[in-house]
Amino acid sequence: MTKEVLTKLVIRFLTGGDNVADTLSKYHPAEVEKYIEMAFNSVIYQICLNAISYNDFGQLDAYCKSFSNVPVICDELRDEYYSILPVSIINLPKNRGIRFISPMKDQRNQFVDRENNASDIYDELEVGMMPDMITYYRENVKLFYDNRMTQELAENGVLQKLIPAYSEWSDEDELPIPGGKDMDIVRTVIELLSKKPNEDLSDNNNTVLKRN
Amino acid sequence: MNLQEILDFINYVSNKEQSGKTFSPNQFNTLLPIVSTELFKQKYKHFEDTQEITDDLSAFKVWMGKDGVMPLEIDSNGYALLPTDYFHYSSILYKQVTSNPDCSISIKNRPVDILTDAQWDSRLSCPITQPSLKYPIANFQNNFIRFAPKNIGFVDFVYLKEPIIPVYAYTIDSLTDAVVYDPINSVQLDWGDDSHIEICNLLLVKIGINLKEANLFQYATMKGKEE
Repeated sequence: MTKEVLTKLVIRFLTGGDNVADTLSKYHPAEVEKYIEMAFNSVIYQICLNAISYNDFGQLDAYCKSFSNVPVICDELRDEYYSILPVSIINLPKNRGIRFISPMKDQRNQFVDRENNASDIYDELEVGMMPDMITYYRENVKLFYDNRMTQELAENGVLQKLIPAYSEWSDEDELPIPGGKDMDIVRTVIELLSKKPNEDLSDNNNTVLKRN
Repeated sequence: MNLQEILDFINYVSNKEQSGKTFSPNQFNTLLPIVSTELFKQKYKHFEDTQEITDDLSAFKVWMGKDGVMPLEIDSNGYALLPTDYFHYSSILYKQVTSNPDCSISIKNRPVDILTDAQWDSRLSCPITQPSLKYPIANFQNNFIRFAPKNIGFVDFVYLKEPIIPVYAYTIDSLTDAVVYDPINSVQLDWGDDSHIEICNLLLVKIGINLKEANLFQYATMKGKEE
């Protein structure tokens, strides 16, 4: 199901047909999309929790998109290389919204996620001694790489596989909704929006008169 | 029916009803535009309620943007002047043109949301439903429409135009003093034939003859047979 079809499906249910001028303000597609986004995120979050429980993160791969040649920029003040996330991602526990990062031409050299304050720990571990293993940590939309990121690697950019936020899918993209969960999303959104009161279009100056 | 046929029919019914009242061309020219507007307002109150009313009013529909007709142009400030014959809004559609990676072009139809003044202000500052080329908005002002976003360019605009003022043009025969209908200089009604009986009925009411539409159809048939 595409994003556009999902939104139309919800709106048509709520309005009983075509969303014409009378109902467009009440069920604005952009607003409905926001509610669907929340429901969609909640589904992905549950899948992530499930993946953590069973240590089966492959479940999340169905929802990721790959981004090639993501630029790597040098932060002169910090003397660190970083990338800006090419899209906004779903924020999941343990940074699982970022599925994979590697150099453009060598997916075997996968970069390793670490927390902001974990560099000391890594340095003490054997894994920290490995010369090719680049770690990264996240600061909002920026991903900072450790000092094993070389200028040569940086010049080619990196390959990133991310779980994009719902808003990043285009209207025509086939949404990766897990089988059976589509009904849950639709039901949740309809339940929320059907309680929305009607817009008050009567005398707009009432409040002004009362104030005077 | 042309105007002469309408006038003949009304006078025919009037004579049959023995009211003694017939229309002079001047009276006809005075009352016909009033009756036409009256009928228009009656129908317009129920615009698109039924297919019958939609059909009756279809003669007044103008579609700016159909093949060969210029769409409504919006200037760089987001303003579009209302057409001079504009009476009532029906729909506004923005055709968003986007380029595909393979250099082809896609056209997406984006209905324009028509807002009240207060809604317009609120929508402009709303972070969720802010106007965009995907979700354009419009608001009617005095003789113009404002659009957001401003760079929308052109839209298809369907509206109802005002009924034209019909004119029964005629000359007086100098020998017989008879009224001679001038079809070339006359301005015909823009109503479809289906509504002419209703126009006749309203004209007859103006001179005190109240008939049901079915009776008028009978008179029309009778008149046709007599001719």
